[in-house]
Amino acid sequence: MAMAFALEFQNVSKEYRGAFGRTSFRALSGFSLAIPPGEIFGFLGPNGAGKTTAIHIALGLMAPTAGTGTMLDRPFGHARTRRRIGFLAENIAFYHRPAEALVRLYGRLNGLRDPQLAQRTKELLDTLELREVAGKPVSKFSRGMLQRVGLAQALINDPELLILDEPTSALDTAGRVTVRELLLRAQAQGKTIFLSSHLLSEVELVCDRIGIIHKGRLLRQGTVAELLETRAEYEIAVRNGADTTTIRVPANQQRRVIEQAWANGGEVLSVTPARRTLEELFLKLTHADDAVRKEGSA
Amino acid sequence: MITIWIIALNFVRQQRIVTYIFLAWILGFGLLFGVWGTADASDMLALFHQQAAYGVVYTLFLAAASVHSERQSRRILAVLSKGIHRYEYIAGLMLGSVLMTCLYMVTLGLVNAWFVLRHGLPLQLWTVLAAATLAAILISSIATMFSTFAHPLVATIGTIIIAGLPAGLQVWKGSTVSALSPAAQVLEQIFNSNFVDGWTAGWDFVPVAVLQTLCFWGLAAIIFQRRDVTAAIE
Repeated sequence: MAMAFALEFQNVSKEYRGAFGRTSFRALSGFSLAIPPGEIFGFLGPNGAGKTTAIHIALGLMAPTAGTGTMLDRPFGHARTRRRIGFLAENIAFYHRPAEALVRLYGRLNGLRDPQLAQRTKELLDTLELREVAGKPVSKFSRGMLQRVGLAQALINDPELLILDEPTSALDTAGRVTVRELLLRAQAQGKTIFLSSHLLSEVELVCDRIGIIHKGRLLRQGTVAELLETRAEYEIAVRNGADTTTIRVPANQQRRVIEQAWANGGEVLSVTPARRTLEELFLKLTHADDAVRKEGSA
Repeated sequence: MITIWIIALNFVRQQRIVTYIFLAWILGFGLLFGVWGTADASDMLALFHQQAAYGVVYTLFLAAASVHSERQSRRILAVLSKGIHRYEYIAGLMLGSVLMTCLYMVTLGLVNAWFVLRHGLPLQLWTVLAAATLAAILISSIATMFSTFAHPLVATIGTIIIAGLPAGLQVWKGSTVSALSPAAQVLEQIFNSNFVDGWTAGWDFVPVAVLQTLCFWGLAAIIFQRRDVTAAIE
C-alpha cells in the first residue's frame, strides 16, 4: 500500500523546561502538518518559530511533550527508518576529518558498505564540487564548504525523504544554483524534500507547497500560487498609444479603473489577480499573529 | 555490532591528541628509567603504581566527558540522525573508552616489561595491569552513564562516589560491602601490590565488575534514550 504521507505531525507540542522546572518555553503548540510523498515543502518561519524543534522531533532527537507523528509510515524516532532519510542540520558541526572520510563515516553509520559506498561518495563529491578538497580536513573549510559536506552526508544513503535545515544559508550564488538543481533532480526521482529556510526567494523557486510557522503554530500552508495570489487586489495592464502601464488596484475599484481607461481611449490588455511576494505574505502573517497575541494578553 | 565498532573507532580517533600525550608520557618515563635509571626496585614500584592508577583516572576523565562534549559541539546531530539506535551510540562510546584504556595499559605493560628485563628485576606486571584494565572498564561505564545527563565535572564526582562508596563505608563503619566496589578494591590492591608476586588479591571481583559494567551500560542507554539530545546543555 502506498504511503499517504512521507512526513506527518499530529498535534505536536513541545515545551522546554529550565533547570528544576522554574522556567518553561513552548516551542511548538498543537502543530499539525502532512507532507505527501514526492513533494518539495518549504518550511518558513522567523528565528525561534519552532522550525528546528519540529525537525528534531521528527528525527527522534527530542521527544514531543504531546502529540505524535510519522516519518515514512513509522513513528518518529524509529532508528532504522532514519536509514532512508537524509538530514542536514543548521550550523552543522563535524569531526575533524578529511571531507571524503567524513562522508564515508556517515555512510557507514547508515549501513552502506563498499563498493556502493565508494561509488556514492565519489558521485556526491563530484556533484557538490568537493573532489579537489576531498582529502583536506573539514576543520579548515569555510562555512559554505562545510555546508556542501553536510549536503553530501545527507545524500549519501540516497534518501527517500530529505530534511534540510537552512541548506543554502552559507552558499554563494553558484552553490545555491547547484543545490537547487540537486533538489529538483531528487524530486524528479520521486523523493520528498522538507526544506526549512530563511531564504524566501529560494523557497519560492523550488517548493511545491509552503508552510509558515510562527511561535510554534502553523499559520498558513498551501501551494506557492495559492498563497501568493490575492483576490484583494488586481493588476490591470493598459496600453495607451505606444505606452503600456500596469496599475495595481483594490478589487472593488477594478471596474471603475477599466472604464476610465476605456474612456481615455486606452486598451485594457489584461486583468489578473495581484501576486504578493513571499516576503510580503510572510511579514503580513507574522505581524498579524503578533498583534492577535498582544491583544489576547492585554 | 559493526555500528558500535564504527562509533568506538571514531571516538578513539577523536581523542588521539590526548592518547599521544599519554603514550608519550609512558614511553618517556620508560626511556628515562630504562636507559638512564638505576635498578632501584622501590623507584620502579612507585612508578608502576602511579602509571597503572593514571590509566584508570585517564579512562574516568575520557568517559565522563564523552556524551556531553558530543552534545555541546553539536556533532551528535549528524550521528544520531543516521539509522542507529541510541544504545549502539552509548555502547560505541564505551567501547571507545575501553579500547583507549587497553591501548594505554598494553603500552604501559610493554614498556615496563622492557625495563624490568633490562634491569633484571623479578616483577610480575601483566596480571596487575589486567586487573587495572577491568577496573578502568567498570569506571568508564559508570562515568558514561553520568555523562548522558551531567556536566563532566559532576559526572567525575558522581563516578568517584559510586565507585568508592562501598569501600569508603568499609573504612568508615567497618561495613563488609567493599566487594560491591571492585574498582576501588582493585585500585587499593594495585597500590598495595609489590608486583613481585603478580596479582595476589584473587579474581573474585571479575564477575561483579562485569555485571556492574553491563548494568551501568544498560542504565546509560535507558537514560540517554529519554534525553533530548539537542536541548540546552545543563
